[in-house]
Amino acid sequence: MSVLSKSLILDRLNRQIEDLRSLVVTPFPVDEKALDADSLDLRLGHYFLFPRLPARDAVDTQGGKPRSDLSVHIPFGNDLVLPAHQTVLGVTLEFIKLPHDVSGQILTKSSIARSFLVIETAPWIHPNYRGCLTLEIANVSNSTLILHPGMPIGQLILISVDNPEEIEFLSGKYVGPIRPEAPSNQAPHKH
Amino acid sequence: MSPCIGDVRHDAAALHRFIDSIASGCKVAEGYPSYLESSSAFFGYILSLAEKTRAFLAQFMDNLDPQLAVDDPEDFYSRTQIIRNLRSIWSDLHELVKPALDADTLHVPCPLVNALTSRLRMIKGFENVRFAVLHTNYLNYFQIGAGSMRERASEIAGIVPHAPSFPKDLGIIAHPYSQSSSIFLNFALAHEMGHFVFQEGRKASRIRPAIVKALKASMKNMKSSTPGVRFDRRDPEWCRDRVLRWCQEIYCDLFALWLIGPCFSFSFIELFGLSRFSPSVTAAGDTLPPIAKAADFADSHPAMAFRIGEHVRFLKSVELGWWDEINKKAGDGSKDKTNHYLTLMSEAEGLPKETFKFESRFKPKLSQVILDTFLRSVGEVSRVVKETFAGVPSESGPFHDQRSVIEKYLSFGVVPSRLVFPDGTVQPPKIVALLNAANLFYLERLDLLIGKIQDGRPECLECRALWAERVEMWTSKALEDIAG
Repeated sequence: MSVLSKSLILDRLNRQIEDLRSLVVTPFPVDEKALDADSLDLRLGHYFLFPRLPARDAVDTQGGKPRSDLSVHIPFGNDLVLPAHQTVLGVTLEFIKLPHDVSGQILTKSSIARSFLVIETAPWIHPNYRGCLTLEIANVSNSTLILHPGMPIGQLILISVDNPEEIEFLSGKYVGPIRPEAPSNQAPHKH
Repeated sequence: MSPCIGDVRHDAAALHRFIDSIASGCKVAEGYPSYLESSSAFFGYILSLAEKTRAFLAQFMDNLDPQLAVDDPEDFYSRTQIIRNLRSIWSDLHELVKPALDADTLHVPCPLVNALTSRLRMIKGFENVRFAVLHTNYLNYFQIGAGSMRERASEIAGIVPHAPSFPKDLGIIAHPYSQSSSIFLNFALAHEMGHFVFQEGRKASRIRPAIVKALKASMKNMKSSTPGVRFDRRDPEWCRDRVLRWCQEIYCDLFALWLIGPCFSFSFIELFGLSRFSPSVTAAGDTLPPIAKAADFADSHPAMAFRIGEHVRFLKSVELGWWDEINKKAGDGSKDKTNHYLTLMSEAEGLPKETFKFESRFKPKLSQVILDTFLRSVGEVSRVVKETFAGVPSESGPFHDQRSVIEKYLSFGVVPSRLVFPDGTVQPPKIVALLNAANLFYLERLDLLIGKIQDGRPECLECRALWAERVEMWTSKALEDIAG
């Protein structure tokens, strides 16, 4: 296993979609600084799912009764207010398709982390994944934080996988999401 | 009996509260849900109007002499009529505010509205246009005439000093709440934008001369073929208005075809459930295809079959160049059939003129003259649409170049907003190419995508609905991405 360098990332980005080794990141950041020597910046998207407060029921993590989340859309230029110790599901602005021989890991950007904002608690992305990445955003600080859709929020590290499998079918519970998705079998309620 | 001062005070206070309650919903500048910038402009207009109206009311009541009700009841009644007039205007506005509040950015197809608007702004004279979208309970789309909104605004301005004018270049379109943020079902928005351009661009004046000429010929023909037939003095005007109304509908259809291409026709067929006239259900012995059953004109709209036939004639025109493109096999040539909507469209185009019928509910004796006049003059409409879009490409060319690559991205479950072509070039798709390639993929090739999903079953209704929705979401995301 090794981390993909900038030149390898660019090479993968310019392969045709039917090539198993192709990588897709779209919209591709215009800012060149978004592509580092060994990582790629990801930005905050503009769809969110808020858990209802106060919580109506206990959430059964094994499924059961659907959680009652609230969908919110924040257009560019507007902002999201996240009070201290609150959580929200967000999503990356970028849609990602990983090659069949590459895994990904998403990390909170250091400047964001230092504001005590955690964006990801399930940071591993399997080969062949496609979709916008759901972010489990938590404000663990004692202050209200203001989030701006489009702001750089995470870093994607790409790691090549030895002896990758030829993947015939797309699988997993969350193929191609664009918006944050509540845990499967938990349907969101729109406001 | 004239009202007393107490009655007027009551009415003014009631109107004040009525306006307050309408305006309170419009304070949407901050917080959630959020709205299109154009909707916010509409809310801003209502808020400003409310503020000015309330200020006017307060001043009006302060200045109203209670003694006048005793001394000159008629004058008193006449003066206080203003309050009843304002109430009537605010009652009209009341009908628009709640549907606008329901249509927040999660419940309207914002990327589609923005994409269509960006295309429309290429038309000369409409560079700054914007559209607020409302919800409606009807399973139909309609445009609230900017002209009538301006009239309402000027009525208020005639009463309330410094009342704001209706925002310039703002169109208002209502769409069925059930279509929400769907992309493929909302292509009819392009037709409604056509109504805005028709009215604001005064296109009626471009078409009317052809109607007048056709009407003369049609009436002359009727007189010679039907001895004893008599026309009233006002019949010609009535006929012209009816034909012009139909022509406006055709204008808006063709406008939509130029704006977004043939996906408008597919959406039209789906919205009105016209696939019930599918070619596959032709009854034995029928000489005409099933679509001939949709050949009756209504007082407000031309027959569905005529409209679809007109779509085909327009799509075939050299300036558009769409028809051959959409009849080609799927982009990569691997599909052996095109969608059944295309067959339906071809059959509609082939219907002879005699198939079409019209029976006016209001003036039955003029039915034949109106229909004949329309059929004689409708050719002028496509000329006026082409004139409207002078210098605006139809984008069938980029569709030809990009279709197969866009379809490939969708078949791999990937948002097609950054396309890598076989020659190694990287480009975003063009809006119209994206919408049509994605729509054709949805109509013709969903099985290809479902076949790549583990446990995906094309025959499963829920599975099909899920992946159709995903294709729409990827298309919507691509529209957002290329808009930047």
